[in-house]
Amino acid sequence: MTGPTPTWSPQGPRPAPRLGGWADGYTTDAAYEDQINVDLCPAWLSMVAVLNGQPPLDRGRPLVWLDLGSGTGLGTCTVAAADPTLEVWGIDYSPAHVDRARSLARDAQLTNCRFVEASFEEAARDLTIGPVEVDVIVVNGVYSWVSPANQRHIVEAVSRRLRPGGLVFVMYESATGWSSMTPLAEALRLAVDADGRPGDLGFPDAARALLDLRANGAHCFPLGPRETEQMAGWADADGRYAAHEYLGAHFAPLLVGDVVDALAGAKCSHLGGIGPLDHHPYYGNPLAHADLLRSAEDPVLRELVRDLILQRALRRDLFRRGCVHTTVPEQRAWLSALTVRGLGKPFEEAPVELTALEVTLEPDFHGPLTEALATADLDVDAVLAIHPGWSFADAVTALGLLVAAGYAAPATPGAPGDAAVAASRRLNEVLRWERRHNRAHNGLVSPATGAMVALDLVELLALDAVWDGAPPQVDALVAHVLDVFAAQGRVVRHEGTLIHDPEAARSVVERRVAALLHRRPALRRLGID
Amino acid sequence: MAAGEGDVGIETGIETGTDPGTDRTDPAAPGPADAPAPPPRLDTRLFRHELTPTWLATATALAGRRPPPTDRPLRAAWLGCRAPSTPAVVAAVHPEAEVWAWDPDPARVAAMAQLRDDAGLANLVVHEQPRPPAPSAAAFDLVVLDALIDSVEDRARHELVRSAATLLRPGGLACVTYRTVVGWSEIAPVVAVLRHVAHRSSRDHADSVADALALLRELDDRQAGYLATRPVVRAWLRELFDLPVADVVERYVHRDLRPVSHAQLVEAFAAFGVGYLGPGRLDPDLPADAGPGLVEQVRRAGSSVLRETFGDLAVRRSDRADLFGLGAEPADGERADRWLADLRVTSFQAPGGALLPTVAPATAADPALDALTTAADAGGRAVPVGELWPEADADERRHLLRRALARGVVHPIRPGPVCSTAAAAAARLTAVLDHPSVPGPQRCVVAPGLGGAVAADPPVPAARHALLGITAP
Repeated sequence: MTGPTPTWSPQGPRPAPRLGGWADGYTTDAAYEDQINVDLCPAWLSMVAVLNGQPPLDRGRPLVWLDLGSGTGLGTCTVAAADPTLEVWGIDYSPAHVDRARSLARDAQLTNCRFVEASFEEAARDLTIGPVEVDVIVVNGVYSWVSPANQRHIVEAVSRRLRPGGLVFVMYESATGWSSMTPLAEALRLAVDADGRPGDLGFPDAARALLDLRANGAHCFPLGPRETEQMAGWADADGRYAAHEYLGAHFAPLLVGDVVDALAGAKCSHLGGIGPLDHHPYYGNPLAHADLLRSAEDPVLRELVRDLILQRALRRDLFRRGCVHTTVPEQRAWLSALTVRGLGKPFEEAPVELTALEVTLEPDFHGPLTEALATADLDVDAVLAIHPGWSFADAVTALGLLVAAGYAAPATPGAPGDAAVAASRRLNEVLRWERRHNRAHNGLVSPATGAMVALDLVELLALDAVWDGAPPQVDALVAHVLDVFAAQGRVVRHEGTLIHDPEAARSVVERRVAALLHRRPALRRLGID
Repeated sequence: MAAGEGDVGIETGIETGTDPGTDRTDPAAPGPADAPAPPPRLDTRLFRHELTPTWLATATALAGRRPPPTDRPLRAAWLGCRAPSTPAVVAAVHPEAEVWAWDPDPARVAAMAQLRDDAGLANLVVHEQPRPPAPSAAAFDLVVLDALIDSVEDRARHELVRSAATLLRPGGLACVTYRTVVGWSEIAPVVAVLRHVAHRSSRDHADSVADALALLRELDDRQAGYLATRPVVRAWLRELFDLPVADVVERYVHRDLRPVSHAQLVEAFAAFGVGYLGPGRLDPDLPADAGPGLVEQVRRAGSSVLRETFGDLAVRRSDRADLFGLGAEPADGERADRWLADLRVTSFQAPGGALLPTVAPATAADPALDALTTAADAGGRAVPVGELWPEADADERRHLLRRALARGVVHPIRPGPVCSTAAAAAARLTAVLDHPSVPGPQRCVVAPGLGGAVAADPPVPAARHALLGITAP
C-alpha cells in the first residue's frame, strides 16, 4: 500500500482511562514506587565490564549518566548524590514521576541532576532534550513493559546518544520464567479495565478472580514454577507495584536473543548479566549443565539455554557500544584495580543464591576475607596477601563472591570527596524525613560505593533514633522501633512473612538492632553514619 | 495435546518434502536415474471447511449477526494461503463470486496461480505482489486472514490487520485464524532456541534444525528446568521429537511463532472500526469437565473480551478463528432467531465414519444429536435449522446446533441450487487436487452443494451426490 489508508471511525473497546491516552498503554493511574538500586552505579558497571574483559568506564573526565524511564527518580538522584562530578539526567514520560523526581533532587539540593518529561520517541528523535553524548544509559524496569514501538525508540535513543565505549544497562522480564503468566497478566488487565477503578485498587479483585479460575479447574493451570511463585504473592502484593508489574497493555516478557538483537541495532554488544559471577565458568553455570554450556560457542545460544535451564524470570544485562580487543596484561591491570568495600555484614555459613547456583562460603577461605573487610578495602593483592597460595583468578573470584553474597560492594576510586559525602547526607536526610512520614525506602546512599546500601526498615529506624540522640543500646532502640511501627500501623516482616505475634516481632527487631549496632563502623566507612 | 496445529481441516499441514523452499536448496541432489525431478508442488489439498463462506455464515448467524447476503455475487479475499485449496474451492463452488488470494510467501502465490490455471478458475484472482491488495472502490464481503498474524512481528501484524479491515465493505466479515498466547506462550522460548540455531548457521535448515533438536534432546535428558517442569512443554516436545525434521523446519523455522491473544486482535481491529462478532470455530466455550463454578465465572465476566479471555484460559485454547464485522450491529432477538432458523444443514454421519473430522469428539451419548443424525440422515436431506429440535427455544437451539456442528454431526448447506458451472468447476478442481504428484494420504472431493469439500475416503454415498453437487467421476 502507498500512503495512509482512510479508515472508518474507531469503535470499542476503548483503551481503559487508567492507561491514559498519552502513555501508550503504560499504567499511569498509580505512580510507581521508589526503587533502590545497589548496583546501578559507575563502580558496579565498571566492575562488570572488567570482569567481562572490557575496559572500565573512563573516570579521567566527568561521566554523563542518563536514566531512560527514570520513574520517581530515587535511583537517579542516588547516583548524582553519591558522585557530584557526574552529570546525571533522568527522562520519563510521566509528569507524576518527573514531579516526584524533581522534588527529591530539589530537596537534596542536587545541582548535577536534572529530570525531563519526555516520551521515548522524543528522547530518540529530539537531541535538544537531555544530554547529547552520554557514557552510561540505564533502562531499568521499563523495556519489557512498553510497546514494541517504544522499545525501538529506546534503542534509537541509545544509538544516537551513547558514546563509543559507553555502557547500557537493560533490565527486562524473561519469558523463561514468565511465559505462562503472560495470558494471566492480560486477563488481570482486562479485569481491572472492566472494573473501572484505578489499577492499584482494582488489582486485588482481579487477582482473586484468577485465583478462582485456578480453584475452579481452568486448564491453563498449573503455571510454571516461577509463575506459580509470582501468583502466590498476589494475595498481599502492593497495589502500586502490581499495577505496574502486570497491568500495562504491553507487558510482554522477552528472550535474551530479542534484546541482544535489538541492541545490536545500536551497535551495542552484550557483555553479560550484571551479577558479579554471571560470567564465571564455574559459578555462572548450573552444575548439571556446566559442560554443555561451556561447550556452546555461540554466546547468545548459551544465554538462551542457561535461561531455559534456570527458568530465569528476570534479566539484568550490560551492553557496551563497541567491544574492543583487549590484551591479557590490560585485563590483568583492570582486574588488579578492582576494589571492594565492606558492607558490615558478619560472616555466616548460610547459602548464597547466585544467578546460576547456590553456594555456601567456606569459613576457612572466606571468613578471613570478611574479617579483613571490617577494617580495609580489598583488592586482588590484599586477597593474595591473606591467601598466598591462591591464584590471581582465585582472588578475582573471591572478590566476586564477596560482592554477590552481600559482604562488599565495588568501591568508587579513592576516598569519597567532601562534596559527595555532603550530597549523600542531604539525600539521606530527605529519605529520613520521608520515613517519619510513613514513606519507607530500604536503603541509604553511600558515597563510597556510589549507590544505595540496603538497610531494612528496622535498621533505618534504629539509625534514625541514634542520629536523633538516642543511646546506641539495643533495648532503647527496640522500644523506639516498635513504637514507630505501631504508630505507622506497620507489622514486622521476617523473611517475607508478617510477624503478628508481639514477642516474636520483638525478638526479630532485637536481632536486627543488634546487627545494626555491630554494623555501624562499616556504615561510617561507607560515608553513611 | 493442548498446543496443537489447527487441525480442523481435512489435511493438517503442508507436505514439506515438496515445498519449493526446501527443494530448491540443493540442485545437485541425486534423483532417480536419468529421470528429471518432478517440479516442486505445494500440497494444495489442504482444505479448511470452517473458512468457507457457508460455514462462516452459519457462525455469524450463531453469533446473532446477519450472515453475508446471498442475493448478489460474493467478493472474498484470502490473505494467507497456507491452506491453499480453500480459496480455490470457494472460487469453484461460487463461480459467480470474485475470490482473491494472496500470501507473503511467493512459493505459495505461485502454487495458487498454478492451481487456478490447472483448474480453470477464471474467478480466482491471485494477487502476485509482495504486499496485500490495496482497498479499491469495490470492497469485499469476506476477508479471511489465515495463519499469518501469529507468525510476523508487530509492525507487519498491524499492516495485515489494516489490510483486512480496510478491504471490507460495510457489513462485511473478516475471519482471522491464529495461535493463541494461552496455548503457545510457554512453547515460544523453546522454539526460540530452535530458530536461533537454525538461523545462525549457514548450513541447510534441515541440518541445523537436526542439531537444534539434538540439543533439546540433551536438555530434556538432563531434566533442564524449563523442559522438565512444565507439562505443556513436555507434551509438545514429545510431539516435536516424533516429527520428521522437514516438518519441524516448515512449522517452526519457516514460520515464526508469535502467538496472539483475542484481546490484542479485538483492539487492533477496533482501531479501524471493525468489531468482534463471535467465534468462527464452533468448538466448545468451556472444557467438557468444567464444573459449575468455572461455567459461572466465565459467563459473568465483566466484558465480552474478558469473557472470551477467561474461556481461553479455562480451555487452554491453542487456536482461534475470530469473526469480525465492519458496522455489523447486533440484531434484535427475533431477527437473529430468523436468520438462524433459515439456515439449512445436512447430516454428516456417513456409513463408516464422519465425512469431516470432528472438532469436539463426543465424550458421552448425546441423545439430542443422535436423534438428529437418524432424522436427517435418510436420503441426505437439507434440513432448515428451524425444523430441528422443535421443542427447543431459540437459545437452546443455538446451543444444540453449535454442539452438532462442533462434533461433525451436521454441516451447513450452501444457500441456493448448485448450478452446472459450479458442478463443472468442482469436478475440474477435484481432478487437479487429486494430482498424483501431490503427496499425502488424504484426498478430497469438492462439493458445491456444501460450499466446500469433503474427504474422499470413505467414498461419499451416491445418495448424497445430488445434495452435495458432486458429479460422479
